[in-house]
Amino acid sequence: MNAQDILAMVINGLSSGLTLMLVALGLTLVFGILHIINLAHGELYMLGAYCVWWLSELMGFNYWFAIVLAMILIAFLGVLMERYLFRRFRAIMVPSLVVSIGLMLFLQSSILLGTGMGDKEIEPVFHGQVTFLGTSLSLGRVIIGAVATVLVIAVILFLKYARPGQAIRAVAQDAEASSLQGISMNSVSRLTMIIGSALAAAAGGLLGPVFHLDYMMGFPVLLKALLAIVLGGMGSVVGGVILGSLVIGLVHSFATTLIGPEIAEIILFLIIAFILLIRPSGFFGMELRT
Amino acid sequence: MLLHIKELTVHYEGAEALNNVTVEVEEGSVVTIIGANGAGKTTLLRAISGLEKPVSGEIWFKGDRIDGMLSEAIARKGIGHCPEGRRLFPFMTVLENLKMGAYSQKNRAGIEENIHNIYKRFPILKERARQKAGTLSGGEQQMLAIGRALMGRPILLLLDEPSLGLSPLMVNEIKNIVTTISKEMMVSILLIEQNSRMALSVADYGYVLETGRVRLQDKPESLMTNDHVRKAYLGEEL
Repeated sequence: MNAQDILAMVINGLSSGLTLMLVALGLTLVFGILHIINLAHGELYMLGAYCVWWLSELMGFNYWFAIVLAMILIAFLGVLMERYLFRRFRAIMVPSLVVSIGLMLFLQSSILLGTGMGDKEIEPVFHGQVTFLGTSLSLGRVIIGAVATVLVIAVILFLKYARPGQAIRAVAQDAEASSLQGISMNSVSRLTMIIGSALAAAAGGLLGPVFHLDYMMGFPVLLKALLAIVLGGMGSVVGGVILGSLVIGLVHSFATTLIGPEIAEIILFLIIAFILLIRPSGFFGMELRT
Repeated sequence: MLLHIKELTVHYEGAEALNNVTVEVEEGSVVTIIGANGAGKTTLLRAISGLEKPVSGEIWFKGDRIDGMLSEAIARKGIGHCPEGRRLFPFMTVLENLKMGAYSQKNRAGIEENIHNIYKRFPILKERARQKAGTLSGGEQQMLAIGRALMGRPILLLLDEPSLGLSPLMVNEIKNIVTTISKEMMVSILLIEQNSRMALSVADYGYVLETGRVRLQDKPESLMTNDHVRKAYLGEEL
């Protein structure tokens, strides 16, 4: 193995870590605001991929336009989920888990019934390789990573500087005190679901051309996103998720190349379990706030 | 009448926290409610802000009935609430906390002007503007909590034990701040305190709350000469 191989593994790892970040960021935001672990969050990713497939392969829209449209459609679905399901189960742990599992199964079955079992693929838009520091990289992977980076930075800037973004942070830190400032809990919840759903849909649309579409594709991504959040530290919102996702992407990429794709997942979970043994509260772990 | 609480009964965790309480706040006045720990003072303020739902009774503000409204709607009607324990946003900066206080305000120039005024009144907050609220000292946190509540340009300000845990020097400072807010900014105040002496010295009218009921109500001068108040709340030997 030489430096080029290592660089390739790092770039691939960063690229998949960044797309995972899109899913994990939304999941942790929804958890921070609604105090619900939305197990159907992976299905928003899956639906994003199907939406892009439907729009670009069947309806003939441009791939990027299809992604933007999918983000809007899935965000609208997220609004409906918040309004008619999650809002009633805010901060009620077990019932909300049951609801989100039900929703997950419902969305999976709907896609299975609606589109059937047959192979579905999104035609890759970018072909070929780019050469970076003497290393040959897949152009598609690089572009996916770049787009994901732009989206993550946009969300961070929004949370930091935009008034509604600041309100999201305020509610995550103290919901009651926020309501005393005139911040509407319901509109912050809705906005959080819009952001989370749109990001998950974008991740699905970006990774769609890399994998075959499958109605079950959301669940493994959900698991990894949960892992990224736990690894980063449940209490910290953004910083932990970013680091957690990148570590998972990198570990997965190294394990896939060095040991083989079949047992990469096992290695990944073992390494994360080991890290959590040493640091049970994750990288940025702090006491969970009540 | 700016605020009229009529025969309010509130249950808190199954127990009766307030029983048939009637309290009035006139426009432009400072009204204080004194009482021991657990007398129901905080529950009363929380009920006004819609954080606790009354079992019976009514709350009227500026001629509108507000019990049953959402907290955020009550805040937008002009009731500022400095809650027990300050409840700042600990991982946001001092400036961000102030801006959150102005969340209901739409006029950007007005918000900037308000921040400027608050910095003038509390210069330490300007010095600490970029610091996280969680890193401030107790007195600074209390000033920020009051500043944040003022950012919403309230008509009525609810203050829940602003002097709790502060040094005697800071308690005196809080007293001056209450007077300033009332006299210069023309904001009516409902002040809840365990420091009865301080509270009665700034108030225009006072209530004594004991185990969820109004035991006494009168002008502060009269309350301060009342034997029960002197013995139970001012620590005087009779």
